[in-house]
Amino acid sequence: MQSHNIQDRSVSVSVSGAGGSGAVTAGLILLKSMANAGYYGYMTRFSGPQIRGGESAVVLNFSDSPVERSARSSDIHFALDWHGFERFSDEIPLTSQSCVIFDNSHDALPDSVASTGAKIIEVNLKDQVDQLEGSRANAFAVGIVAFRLGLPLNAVLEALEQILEKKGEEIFLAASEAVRRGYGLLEKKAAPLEQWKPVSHTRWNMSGNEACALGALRAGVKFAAAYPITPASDIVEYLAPRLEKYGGNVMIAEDELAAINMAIGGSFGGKPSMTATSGPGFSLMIEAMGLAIASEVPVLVINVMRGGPSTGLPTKSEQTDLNQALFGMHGEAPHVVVAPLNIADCVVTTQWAVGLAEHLQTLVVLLSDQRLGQSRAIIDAVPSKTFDLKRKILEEKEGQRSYLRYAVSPDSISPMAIPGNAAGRYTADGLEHTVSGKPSSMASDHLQQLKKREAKVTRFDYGKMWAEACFHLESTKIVVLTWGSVYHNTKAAVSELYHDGCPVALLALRLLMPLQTEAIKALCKGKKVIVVEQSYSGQFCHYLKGQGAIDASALTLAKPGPLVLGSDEIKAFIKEATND
Amino acid sequence: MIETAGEKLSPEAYLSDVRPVWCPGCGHYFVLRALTQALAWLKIPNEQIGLVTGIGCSSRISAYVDAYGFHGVHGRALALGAGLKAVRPDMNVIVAGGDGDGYSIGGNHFLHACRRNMDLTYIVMDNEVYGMTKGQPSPTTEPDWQSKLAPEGTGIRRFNPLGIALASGASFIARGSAGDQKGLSRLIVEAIEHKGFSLVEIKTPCVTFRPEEKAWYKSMRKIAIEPTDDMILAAQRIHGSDGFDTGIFYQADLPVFQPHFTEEKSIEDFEKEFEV
Repeated sequence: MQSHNIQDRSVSVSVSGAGGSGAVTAGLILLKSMANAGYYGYMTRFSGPQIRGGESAVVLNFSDSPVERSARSSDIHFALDWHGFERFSDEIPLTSQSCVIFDNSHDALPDSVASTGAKIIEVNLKDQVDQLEGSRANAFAVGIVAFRLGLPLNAVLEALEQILEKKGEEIFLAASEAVRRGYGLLEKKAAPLEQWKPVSHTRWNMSGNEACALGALRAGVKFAAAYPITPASDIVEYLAPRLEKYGGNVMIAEDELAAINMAIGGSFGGKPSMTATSGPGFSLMIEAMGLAIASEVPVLVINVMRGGPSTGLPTKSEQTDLNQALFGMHGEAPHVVVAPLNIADCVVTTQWAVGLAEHLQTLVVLLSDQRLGQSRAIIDAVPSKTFDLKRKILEEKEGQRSYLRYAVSPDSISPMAIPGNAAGRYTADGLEHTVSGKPSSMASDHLQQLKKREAKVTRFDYGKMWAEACFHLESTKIVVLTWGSVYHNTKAAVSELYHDGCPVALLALRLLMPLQTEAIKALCKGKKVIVVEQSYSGQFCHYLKGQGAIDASALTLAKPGPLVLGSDEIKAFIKEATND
Repeated sequence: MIETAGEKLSPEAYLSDVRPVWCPGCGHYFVLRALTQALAWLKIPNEQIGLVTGIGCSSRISAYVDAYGFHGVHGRALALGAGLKAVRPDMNVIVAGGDGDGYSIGGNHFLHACRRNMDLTYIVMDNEVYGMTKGQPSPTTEPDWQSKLAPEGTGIRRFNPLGIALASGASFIARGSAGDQKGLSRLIVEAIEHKGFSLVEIKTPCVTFRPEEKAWYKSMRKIAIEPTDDMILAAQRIHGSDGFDTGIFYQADLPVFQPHFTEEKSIEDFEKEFEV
């Protein structure tokens, strides 16, 4: 088994099969088994556009230290069948170092796989399934892969029990026997895990979408309204059964237009509120996002980006809603845009985002993407953070009738009256208004309120959360700038170069708007700047240049989705750019 | 039906200090008067009223009532109102707007507000025209009404709000007339008191772009329709009416949607679920 440079000890596994073959379940069991055995892991899933019956695949990367990205190629690939495998040839790179195990009771080995030079092992799982009533091929596959990895059988059986808990004892017993039999099916080989050091502390098994949802709960979100959309639905699906036991609720909206307006209504009613969507839904919400800004109602909109335009690539990742999130609204609409860098950061950044919305009484957009949202990893527990960002609320006083909802104050944040407070009756308005909220189209009122809305967002001190800096940014000669899910591979590339003696450092932005232009400028001054992003047109780079944060001479590695922007590719680009 | 024991409140107690932008003689003034009268009769504390509106002449009403108001975007008032009611069941949430706002751009929300049957009151000031944009045909305009936008008329049949509300699941469906102050106030009182989604469709003349609608003050009949909870009978009355009848066409005790919550879980419980 090859050992990669990226991680001293890591091994990658992929499983593919026709829809319903259980490839994804096999991946979930393996991930949990690894966690039980004291290791870390990262899993991404791929599926064709079909709802059921289409092919699907999982790609896993395991390590004895935290890992949150896929390996360059699969060390072990298990094909439950070869149904539609060619669709994954880009996502599951096989090399002569790979070991491919496949169930030969279905199709023959495809030429494209044979030609990789990978070691091929055939098993007949149909015979095995026939001999064990109630068993399925994927459980045998789990056993075979676990054995090859050197994963203790107990860790697998424990995971099986956790995952199949609700399916009944019969199914669990058949599956565990199948795992046992699979475990003894192939001859013994030196297994990679024998060299690894397990950890014993508690870790979390979590997807990026779940992480965002947990962050929202930690921040005190009490109301979410949403309309189903891939790949964002799991956020609200996670929240629905939990929020109603945690003093809040989730509302199913008739469309995204309703979802954002419901969230605004909930927030106006005094409860921290949010919605979650993806590109097409985000486009529909844009008008009401402007309303939240104009009426100064806090609201969080999570956009789990997918490829666009239009319906685009509904199940696959891209970072291309950036322009829309920054500049999509008509009129001048200052707001906040943040983006988490990894799964653990989804918890923290979402919590921060809710706090910012509440404190600044405005729209906060959180940009995640399909890769970040739907990947699952074993991570260290994310400690709770305190941001101390609360909504400034008008106190209840008897007989007060002089409330000015949109009064201009030193920090431009005016106390918000919550319905029920007799002292604070007002009409929130999307029309331009005076300090009292009375509609006004006078130039002086417009200018005053424009300034107020801009100042509260731009003058706020965002602290250290605005970016993540790695490898001696102050003394470096090359700065690599990135954001979002591209962070991990970019960091790996920069790390390798840095440790090879290259004077390179990484700056990953978490706060995209308001852009911390002066800070970025100071860090990038006189240095070679390289921007890495998952888009075709280089939206992020254009934005940074347009704002004057980086020089026009900065280079950009922009690659559209859905393929991962790999660390090798990033490394090669940085190297070439530096050699010039 | 209305208890006025104790101190009487005047409708003025519900008027804000913002002066309406409506044209002199606009039917909406009567609706504002009827609404504030109804609120005064019900003695609802101002701060317990949430008045949510969209865009259009009639939607400006949220600025004219002294309450917690929200003047949002075009067509989405019902959704915003639903969000408010979901988190604040203690508030009396009234949503108001016009025929274009509610039946055209907001048509989908109208359908789903009816079927959701939350405890909301929806006041539609129907003048069969877009007034704020100066006289375009709306979903309730007659097919042969000639305008700049449709010189020969639209040729499109009219939207039937009451029939659609009935089919969609609204539990209180009424039509009122701006010209019948007392009757209208009473309808609004009934609508607010009704548990569930209440539609009060009000015929209110646009004196500027549809001056002929002033005839409604004479042609609209006083309230004569008695409430029924029989859908078939209600459908017959709605579809059998020439549009000039007023009253409660349908009122039924239907399941009301109101999300409930408990506080039985802690954040630690949720974090534990992720542990391995």
